[in-house]
Amino acid sequence: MDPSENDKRLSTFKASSDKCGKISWDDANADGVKGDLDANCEYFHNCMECQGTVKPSGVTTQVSFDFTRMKWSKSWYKLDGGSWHVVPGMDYTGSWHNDEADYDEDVTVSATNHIYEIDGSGLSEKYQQESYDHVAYVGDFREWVMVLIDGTPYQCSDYYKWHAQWYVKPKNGTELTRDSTTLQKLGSGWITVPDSP
Amino acid sequence: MKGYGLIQALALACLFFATKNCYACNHSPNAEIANPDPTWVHINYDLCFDGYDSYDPDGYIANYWWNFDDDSGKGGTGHPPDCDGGYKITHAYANVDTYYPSLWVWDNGNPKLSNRESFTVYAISISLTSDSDYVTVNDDDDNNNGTPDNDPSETTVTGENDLVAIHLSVQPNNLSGEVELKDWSASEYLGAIKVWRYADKREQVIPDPSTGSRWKRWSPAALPQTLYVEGIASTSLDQARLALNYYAPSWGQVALPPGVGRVQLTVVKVDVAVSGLSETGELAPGKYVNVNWDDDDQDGRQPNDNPPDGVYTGDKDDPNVYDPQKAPNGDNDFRSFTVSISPQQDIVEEFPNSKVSITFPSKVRVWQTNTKKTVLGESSELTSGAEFVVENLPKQLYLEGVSGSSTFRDVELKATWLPCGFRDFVKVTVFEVGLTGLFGFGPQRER
Repeated sequence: MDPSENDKRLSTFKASSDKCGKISWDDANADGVKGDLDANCEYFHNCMECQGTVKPSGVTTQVSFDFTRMKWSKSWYKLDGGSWHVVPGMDYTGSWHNDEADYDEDVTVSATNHIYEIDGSGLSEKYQQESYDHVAYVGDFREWVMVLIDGTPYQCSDYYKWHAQWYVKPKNGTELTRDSTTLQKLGSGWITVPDSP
Repeated sequence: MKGYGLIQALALACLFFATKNCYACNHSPNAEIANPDPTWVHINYDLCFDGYDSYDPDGYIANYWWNFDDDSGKGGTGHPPDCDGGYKITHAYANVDTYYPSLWVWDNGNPKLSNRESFTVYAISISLTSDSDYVTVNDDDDNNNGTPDNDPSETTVTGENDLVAIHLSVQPNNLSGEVELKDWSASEYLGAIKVWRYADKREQVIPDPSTGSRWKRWSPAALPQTLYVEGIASTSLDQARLALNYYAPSWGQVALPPGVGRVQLTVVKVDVAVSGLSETGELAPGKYVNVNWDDDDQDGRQPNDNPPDGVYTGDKDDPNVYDPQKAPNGDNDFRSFTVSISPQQDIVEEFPNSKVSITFPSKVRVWQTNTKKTVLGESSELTSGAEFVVENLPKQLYLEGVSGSSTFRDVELKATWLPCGFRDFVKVTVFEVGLTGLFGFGPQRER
């Protein structure tokens, strides 16, 4: 990632201090310690940053870009010792579902011809709930970029495929923690989204 | 016929006195030349010699002789003719020079030679020729500044190579008077051509940039030997016309032999017209297209593009983009464009079966159909350098982006009329975004 892009800030991404090119697992505050806290990638989030390299170089206002993301995912929950249940409304398998949002993009082309989008599937709650103390998630994603030319959007990139998987379990009587590291997955390409964990 | 009555009266008087002593009243005839003195004439162009005003005071003129002062002459019996009747004395001078032709006459009876009558003839030569009968509409961009070279703002174009040289001369060049170059393309100015002093479009000559006049005059000594014609708009065959004339002092325009001092050009326009792009925008901003990454007919997802093993093939790698329901109109990422030439019918007649070639770099493809379907069993895709005979124009084609541009307008979609190398092109920019991902778990595996 080009360090010069640190000044590109996602001002519309909630209250995020994220900067494009500086997702939370890196040293955003330059204090020499990687893994800086990020409001939107805390707790049990699996974060990714998608970088688009724009051709030709030098794009300013001639055209505009927009990331599009779709998901194929499923979430489950259970209480310790019980059986898994699908989180209501969180079964996005069988077909691709829209997962697009504009607040997670910075599509102003940088000096090094880049645009960015960030995403982080995960659980923002660190406490156990009355209905669950285990949560599982498996998701596949595809991202692509549209270019707006003369008012008409055209797809101008191939699909970028990635996946995320996370499992959480009770940490103590009230909090949650990640399950085994072998159950935590994040990277390019797709994995199988199972019917049950 | 002026003066002839006087001659008849004098002849009758002589007849009266001839019964007494005719010899005593046989006066010499008078040679009279009606041609203006001096006279200007173009070489190799007939000048009529008018000796009709000659007379014999006591008889009639029996013989005459024109000495043309170039070692030739012409004469005959009877009265010297004028230039209005059926029989004329004409002569064409072969060389540029100053001549003093003279008229000699003899009368009847005991012939007496007239006084020699002479006048001055300046035989001049005017020439206007062009290096080509055809000139292209100069809408390319030889100086790479993003503006068509024939735009009114383009007054100096380094590297300009689309102008046709014309060559002007008038001899002798020490003449007084003026030489005029005139655009006589039509009674109403066609605006089809401009004339420049230099090949790089410095110093516009015609139309005069300050007055708009369609002509320019010089003294013969200051006449430029070479000027340059620029095509602005296409014309019919030979309809862009220039004339070079000489205006002698107190004489006016000197008549020229047919075709001399005239050039007739045809302004040809080869045109690549992309849908949605104005003519003035062909160079800048040019046409924006995208790499054809989508899947309009949704056949690039076979057997599926679902997790975990699905594959996806964008239309840029699809040999047939058509589906009666999903893509009945073919690929909607194509940009249609038309290749044409004008004046087409004249070109077909003058250059039958001549060809226009289409060239483009590998960042784009060109198709004959908007579905990539085969045409008469052959691939719809055109290779760079494909040719069409002019009889088959205009031709509608389709442009597809397949690889992103490195810089803006680095793709040139060009059509060239091969006999003369005349061309038109559109600058194209292909947009593409390449995606990569960076991944990281939350700030701590657990908190």
